[in-house]
Order: sequence, then structure tokens, then C-alpha cells
Amino acid sequence: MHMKRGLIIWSTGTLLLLAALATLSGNRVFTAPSVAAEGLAGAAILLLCWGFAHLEKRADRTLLQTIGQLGLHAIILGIAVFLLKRQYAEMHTWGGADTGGGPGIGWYVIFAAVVYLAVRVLILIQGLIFVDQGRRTSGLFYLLTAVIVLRIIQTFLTLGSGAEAPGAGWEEEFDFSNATGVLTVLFLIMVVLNGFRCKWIHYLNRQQKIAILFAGIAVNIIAGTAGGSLGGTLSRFSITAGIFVRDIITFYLVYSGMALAGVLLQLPSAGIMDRRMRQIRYLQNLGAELGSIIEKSELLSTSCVLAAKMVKADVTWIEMKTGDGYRLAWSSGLSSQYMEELPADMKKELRTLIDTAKPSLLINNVPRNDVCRQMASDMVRAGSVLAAPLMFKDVLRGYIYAVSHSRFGFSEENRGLFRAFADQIGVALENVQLAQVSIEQEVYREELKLAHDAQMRLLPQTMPAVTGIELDAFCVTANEIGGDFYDIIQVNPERTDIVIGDVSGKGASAAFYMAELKGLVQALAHHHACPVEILTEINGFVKTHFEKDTFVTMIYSMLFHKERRLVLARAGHPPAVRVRRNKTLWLEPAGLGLGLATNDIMRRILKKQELSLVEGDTIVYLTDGLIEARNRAGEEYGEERLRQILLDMDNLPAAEVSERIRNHMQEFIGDMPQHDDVTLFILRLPEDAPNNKERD
Amino acid sequence: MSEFEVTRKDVQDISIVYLKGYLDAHTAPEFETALQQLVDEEKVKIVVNLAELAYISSAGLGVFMGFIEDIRQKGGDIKLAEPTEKVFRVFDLLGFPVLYEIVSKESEAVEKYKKG
Repeated sequence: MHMKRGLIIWSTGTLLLLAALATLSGNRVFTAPSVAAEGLAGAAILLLCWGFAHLEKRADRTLLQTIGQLGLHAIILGIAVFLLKRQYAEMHTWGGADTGGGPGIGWYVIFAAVVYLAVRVLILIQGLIFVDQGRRTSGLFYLLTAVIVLRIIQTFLTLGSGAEAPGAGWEEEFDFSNATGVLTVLFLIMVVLNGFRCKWIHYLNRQQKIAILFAGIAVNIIAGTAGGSLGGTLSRFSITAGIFVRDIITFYLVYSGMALAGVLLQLPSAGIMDRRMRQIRYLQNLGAELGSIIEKSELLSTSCVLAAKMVKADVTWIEMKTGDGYRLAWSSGLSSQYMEELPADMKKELRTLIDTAKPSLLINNVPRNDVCRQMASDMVRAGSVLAAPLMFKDVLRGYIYAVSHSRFGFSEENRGLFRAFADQIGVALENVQLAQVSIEQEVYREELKLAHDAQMRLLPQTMPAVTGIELDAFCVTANEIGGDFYDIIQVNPERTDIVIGDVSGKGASAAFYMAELKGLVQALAHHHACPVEILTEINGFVKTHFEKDTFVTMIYSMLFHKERRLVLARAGHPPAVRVRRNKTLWLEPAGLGLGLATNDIMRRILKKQELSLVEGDTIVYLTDGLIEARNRAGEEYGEERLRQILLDMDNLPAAEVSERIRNHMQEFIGDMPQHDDVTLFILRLPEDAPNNKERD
Repeated sequence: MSEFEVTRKDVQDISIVYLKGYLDAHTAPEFETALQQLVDEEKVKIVVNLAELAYISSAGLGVFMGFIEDIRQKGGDIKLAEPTEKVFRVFDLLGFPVLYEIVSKESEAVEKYKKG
């Protein structure tokens, strides 16, 4: 859109300009300028400026391209004006004003080009002024253009009033009898003020500055001598356009002159500026490079190498703080052995010096230095030393040293640079540490999760569909891994074994034991038909293979489908409970935890309990985690609370019972962290199971 | 929650260990250290007073098991005295009364040692 509008404005301006100049060229009476044509020319210039400004927004030039174009335009403008000047002079020689002879149409074309170039020059200078513009930059520039426009209008009005055409020289410009003088002064002030807006100089490097200085002087000499001392030349073609072109030439000469003076003034410091810029860029790159390293030894080695390169050192090394001492962490350029052999006293004194030196410690003549003279004589062959602390947020982590074999091997400037680099290493060290910690935590978490997943896989993934009974279970571990387990074994179509157990202690070892028990139970189920026998066998295994202070509690139960008979034995485990028509019965035959005593004692103590079941009976197996779950007040969930909720749930399906107990417990403990595994297993004989009926 | 304390009183060759608070996986090592010290001192006639023990977990129960065989081999024993109803329930469920003497009075346990 902008582009299109710019083009339309621009072409309209061009057409207007050509029309105006065609009219003017037809008017050969020198003393009687055509008011209409002059007005047309003025309007054309405004449109051209507007159009170019629009188009310029789309132009994507680099700073150097803009400067180059400006120079080129200035030279062409100068030459064109020079040609016009010669024509004007000849015209005077030939016949002067009285003859009424004017320049030919060809010259008007050249004049059009001059106007055109002047507009371009204005727009190009605007581009330079607006580089890094300040708060008032654009205001100042538009004020200048406004003054130029006012000068054109004022000239035009003078024409229209029939007064004598403004002339050629400056004496008329400073005529304070009308607005002309005031506008001229304003114009010159604005030109000078805009001349100060040349921040673009800062973006040139030393070489570019030198090139621009010489090229600029050459261009201005050519443009100045060619286009200077205009006299009334331009007014001869068009008075309004002439004023405009002259103003632009003045503006160009002042602006370029001030800019070149600026370049000249900055030239002596250009080298230092360049180096600073390079150093800043270098440090930025280093920061990025160090920041991407997540391994400590790689960070240290890279730092040593980069530091050596940066200050042109022969040897660099890094010393890290360890507890109360310091340890050589890395060296580059010389075997670390030599640095380690340096006397501890000297190293300590050196550290004190570094701590107080700002920004970093520079010893330029090591052989003459009281503290570190020894470094000159031995293998390190130090001529000069540069050293800085490695800090992060006021915490000292170590020191970095750079040694040059030559005395005065480091400049004053290296001190700041070295410290800046050391600070970056400090930050990078912190990053490395953080990354390390988070990686380790991640690995640990991942391992715990794997263990947890493995353990969960040991529990039945789905409840087997056993004809005539409903089963449901849940197991919530307190830590990632716990010691609770349960299993269902369909020994044969007539018998299903249900086992629930808890390995004492918590964490990984309990989980390992649990895995072993799972295999053992699975194997024993097929060899024995009595739960006491199976538990005794497991006891023997636990007693011999588990830790002395580890024991296992377990309920082993066998459901004989045909007789609807449940036979169970309890090895120290919290009793299971049978719910039948608003009555609960705790199944608590005498028993002993597995691993507590010998098999003989076990066999004597363990008693099996047999009970016949009827439709609607529910058996709830649990682990102590449920009974001992505590709320914020420190109360335990307890057997009584469980009993109450079980009574409320008479005649509900197993899955529903399990779900409700779980919610009830969660509600009870609230936001308290669970401190033990909680496992629940529900066995139910549905009241209306058709399969059950068939069996009867 | 893990407030736990072990104190000890020696009466002649009998040592009485008082447990207070919660004995769980976190506090069990403290109790373990106390028993180990008694074994090191060859003081193997031990009475553990449970009057102020609020809770005992399986890890806490494991501590007794870790020492009992060693102590009995050295001619000593661990007798439990004055458990609260709740703590006794835990011991009872696990079948501890079969393996350990649990008495309602500390003096009773001491007397049993004296009688030999």
C-alpha cells in the first residue's frame, strides 16, 4: 500500500515538475516570471519530497550504501549545476536579459534533474539523521523541511504580489524588511542543528571512517567547486525550484562538513573503539560458548584454552576451592605438575593479592616481584602474570591464572577483559553445577519410577475372572516402592488362593523381598493344600534368606468354590474381616509373623480357620497401612472406622466396596502425607450370580 | 510426629530401656544403637518399658528381632513391660507373646530376672 501510494505521489510530482518547467521554458521573458508555472513547480517539489519519503521507507539500504548514494548524488548534482551555471553565463554574454533570449528546452531537462537530485539528497540525509534517533531528532528534521517549504511559499507569494522577483545573492536573503530574512536565519539555525545529528559515525569502524573522510572531502570539493557560487543561475529557470535546490545544497554542504569533522575527531580513538567492540563481541561469544557446556571438566578445559587465546598467554590454569583448600583443576600450556610444585605460601599470598586487586591482578615484571619471583625461575618461566577470581554472587569458587613468558606481556586493557571473562566462567560453573544436580535428580527419579513400575507389575495387572466370585483390589504405595503385595492364584477350577502380605521395613529392600515372595507363593500354591503348610514353608525361606530384622506378615487363604468354603491361616498379619448382613467377623486365628521363629514353632502356633460362605458374603483383606493411616490430628483410621463403613456397604459389588473404602480413607487423612503402603483386597460372593445358582 | 526418646536405667545387672513416642523406620536406628551398646557392655538382661511408646511400626518390631537371638545366646533376654493396649495389639497380632515375655509391670520383669 505504502509503496503504491508513494509511487503515485512521486509520479504525479514528476509530471507536475515537467509541466511547470515546460511552461517556464516557453516563457522566454526573463523579467516576467510566470506565477502559475512557479506555483506548479513548488507543488511538484512538495509532491516529489512526499513521494520519495514514502518510497524511502521501503528502501532497505545499509549505512554504507546510504552514504555512498549520498556522495554519488552530490557529485552528479554538482556537475549538473555546473553545466547550468555555464549556460547561464553564456546566455549573459550572448545577449543578456534585454534580448529576451532564454535557455533552450534541453537545459530545462537538466534543471529538472537537478531538482530531482536535490530531493533525493534531502531524503538520503534524512536516512542518516534518523540513525539511532533521539527524542527530538525527527522533530528537528521536520522543522527544517517546514522552514524550507515556508521559504518556497514565501518566495511564491512575493512573486504573486507583483513585487520584484527575489534575486540571486545572499544580500537579498537577509532582507529583513519582509519575512525572507527571518526565514533565512531560521533555516540556517535548523541546518546547523540537524548537522549535529550524525550518530551513524559510531557505527563505522576505523577503516570505514578513514575511507569516508577522504572520499567525502573529495566529493565535497568536486560538488562544492562545481555547484558553488550559484548567483542567480537557478532562479533563472524557476524561482521556487531554484530556492529549494539552493537550500538543499546549503544543507548538504553544512551537514556533510559537520559529519566529516565528526569523523575526523573520532579518528584517533577509532582504533580503541574498534578493539572494544571486538572485545565485547568476543566476550559475548565466549559467554554463549561457555553457557552451552554442561560438563565441568569440559568447561574448565575450554575456559583455559579460550583465556590463553584471549590475552595471548602462554600458560593458563584454574584453581578450584575445595573445602578449606585449593586444588589445581585444569591447566593449559604446561604440565600441571609445575603449578602444583609452586610453594604453598607463595600461592596463598598471590590469592590474597587477587582478592584485593581490581578488576584483576596484573604483575608485569615477575622476576622483580617479591611475591612470585619463583615463578620466573622455574619451569613456568613467568614474565608476567594475570589472575582473576572466579565468583558467582559473591561466592568464591576459585581462581584463573594466565602467564606470559615475556615481561609486560599483558596490557592494562587485558585486566578488565580477563576479569569479565573470569566472571563468565563463574556463571558457567554455577550452570554446570545446577545442570549436574538436576540430571542426577532426574536419573534418580527415573530409577525410582522404574522400580515402582516393576513392583506394580508384580501385582496382578487385572483381576482374573473367576466364575461365581467378584474380586477387587487397590494398592497405594507411600514411597515410590513399598513392601505390600497380594496375589490371586487359580490353582484349579475348584480352588482359588488369595494371598495378602507385607514385608517389614520400606523402600528398595522390601520391594526385592516382595518380588522373591511372589515367586515362592506361586510355586508353593500348587504343592500344598493347607495354608499352614504353605506359610511354614515361606517362614523357612524368610528365616534363612532375609535380613535378621526383616519379617513378613501374610494371610494365605484358599477358596473352595464347590463347597463355598474359605480356609485361611494368618502369619502375624492384620486380620481380614467377613461382612455378612450388617455383621462383621474379624478372622483372627492364632499366628506368628514369618521369619520370627523356626518352622517347628511356626507349625505349632499357626492355626487355620475355616468358614463357609453364603451368597452376599464379602471378605476384606487389608494391610496395616489402612488401619494405621493417620489424619492431621494424629488419630488412626482404626479397625472400628473400617467396621462402620463396611456395615454401611452391605450388598454392594466388590469394586464399589473397594472404591468407597479408598475414598473414605483419603477423606479421613486429608492433606496428610501417606506414610505407609495401603493395600485392600475384596472377595465377594454376589447374591444374584446366575453361575452361583447353577452350582447349587 | 517422629518424636522419639530412648533412656536407660541399670538396676544391678539388669538394664531397663524406656521408649517414648513413635518408633518407626526413622527412629528405629536410635533404639538399635541403644541395644547395641547394651550388648557391647555385655548387659544382656534387658527390660524394655513400653509405657510411653505411642506407636510401633514393623521397622520398630524388626529391631527386637535383630537382637533377640544374639542376646539369648549370651544368656540374656529382652522382656517387654507395660505396653499400652494399642501397642500390645500390634505385638499380639504379630505373635510376639509367643516369643517374648510381655508383662504388665516393669517390676515383674525385673523380678523374673532376679529369680533367674
